[in-house]
Amino acid sequence: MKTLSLMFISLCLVFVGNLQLVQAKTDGIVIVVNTKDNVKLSKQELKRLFMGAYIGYELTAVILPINHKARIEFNTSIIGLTEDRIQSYWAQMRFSGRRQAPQQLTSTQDIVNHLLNHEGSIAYLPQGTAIPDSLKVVYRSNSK
Amino acid sequence: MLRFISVLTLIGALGVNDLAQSANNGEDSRIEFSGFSRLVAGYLDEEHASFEGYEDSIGFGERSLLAVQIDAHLNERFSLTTQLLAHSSDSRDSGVEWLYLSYKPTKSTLIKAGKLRTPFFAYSDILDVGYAYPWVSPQQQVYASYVFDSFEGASINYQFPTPYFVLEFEAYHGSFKDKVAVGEDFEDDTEIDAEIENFTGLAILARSDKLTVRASVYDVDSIITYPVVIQFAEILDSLGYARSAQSLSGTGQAKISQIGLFYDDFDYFFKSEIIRFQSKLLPVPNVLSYYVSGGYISYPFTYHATFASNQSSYPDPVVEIPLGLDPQIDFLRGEYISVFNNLPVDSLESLTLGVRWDFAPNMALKFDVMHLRGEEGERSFFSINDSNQFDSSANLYEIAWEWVF
Repeated sequence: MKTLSLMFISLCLVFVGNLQLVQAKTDGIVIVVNTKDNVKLSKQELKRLFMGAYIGYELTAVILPINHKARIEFNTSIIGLTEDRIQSYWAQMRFSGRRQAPQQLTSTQDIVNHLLNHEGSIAYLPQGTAIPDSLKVVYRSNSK
Repeated sequence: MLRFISVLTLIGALGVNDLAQSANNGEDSRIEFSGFSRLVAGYLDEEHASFEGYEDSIGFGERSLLAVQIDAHLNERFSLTTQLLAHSSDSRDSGVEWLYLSYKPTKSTLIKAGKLRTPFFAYSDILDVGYAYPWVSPQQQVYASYVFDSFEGASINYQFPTPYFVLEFEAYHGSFKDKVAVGEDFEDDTEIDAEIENFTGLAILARSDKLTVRASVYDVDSIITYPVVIQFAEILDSLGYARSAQSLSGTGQAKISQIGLFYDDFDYFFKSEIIRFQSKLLPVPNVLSYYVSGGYISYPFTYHATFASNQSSYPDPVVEIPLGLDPQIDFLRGEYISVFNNLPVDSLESLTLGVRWDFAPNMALKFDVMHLRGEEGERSFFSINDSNQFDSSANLYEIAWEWVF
């Protein structure tokens, strides 16, 4: 009986986890950058950039908090890994002294303000966020 | 130590302009605290041997630890990092694990100098950070303690982006002086003094969307002091058996090479590393080892299976001392052969099945079952209490709670 209960709880957790990912996918994201340069970024380059690699542009990523829908969708559609595996990667990078995870801000408004005030900054935002004209959209998901 | 100071001086000279500029501009410096902790319990279902300190009773003291990392960001380009570790195992020293100065002159270049962890294999420098890998512990066959785990020196990391992947070059140079264990028997006479005069390494990583390939080579000039063997070698040399004496030398070069392949998809992963350790230093074996690991992710659970194997050997004794001429020479010859026969050999195969549950942000629970099968008549990383009763195989059960903060 204990084993059955454990299996049931496990299945529920798996279901809830996957549901969270599916729900997040429906909103869509945009990726926005503050730069004067003509920047074109592929999905692979965006992934590398947000995972701390140098891709040839002087860009610095900032991100939304864990469990924000836009972050879950970004992780799923661009990074291609679940949050815990991304955190494992950053644990490896941080504690081996190689790279620092992107700065995490608390809300979409904070992200927009940060982008406006920091040239070379890049971030993802939920589709529908009001994007000031001085910022450039370099990626728009097809989810919506 | 002189090299350590000179490297620090060099780094300081390279970046002194940046430091001065930062001070003039009034840039904010900041200090960040982070860390990791793990509580690991293990049980070995074998009463006649122990493995990595685990016996046939539940033990928490082998891998549990708490570490705090302090990053002092002096400015955008300079930072000072230290990592303080408290370890539960008697075979590990608690204290400063890392202490280095980082200088990042460009976004693609990172230079570090100080006390650094050795990066021989993919997980070597984060072995204590259990949250960073799927197993409770990486495979002993590859991540064994034949090699030193930290050095004093410098490293440089350079990233070169291409349209398809990022190439990373990491070069290392430094030295090391401490006691190391040949195998795991820290408490007995297999703990020896080791001095690495020159440690030089180069690792190349190619990171594409999902695939990472890592290849690395390392050279070390070692002086290993095994007092009993050295005294015996001196006797052989004084009696004219120079080649036999030389074959017991603990001074010389060792080479380590590694290739790793890592594939990470959304719901599965594959990892494999193969390493070769070539040494002419008598107490250190030649080793060829590898592991192959695959995992399936059904968030928040990860199920994984890993097969690991290694073959360990030593050079054959030199045929120089004659047999049958004199009983005393025969005795000497017997003693010389017995040095080789008594060296611990650690060939081992293992199959690990495990599950990881990421039950909360930055926390995970893991459970691994590892079937260990050693070679009959060899030590195979076990500490054997009764070789007549031990069939060189056992099962190790480990459960771990991992946390990063």
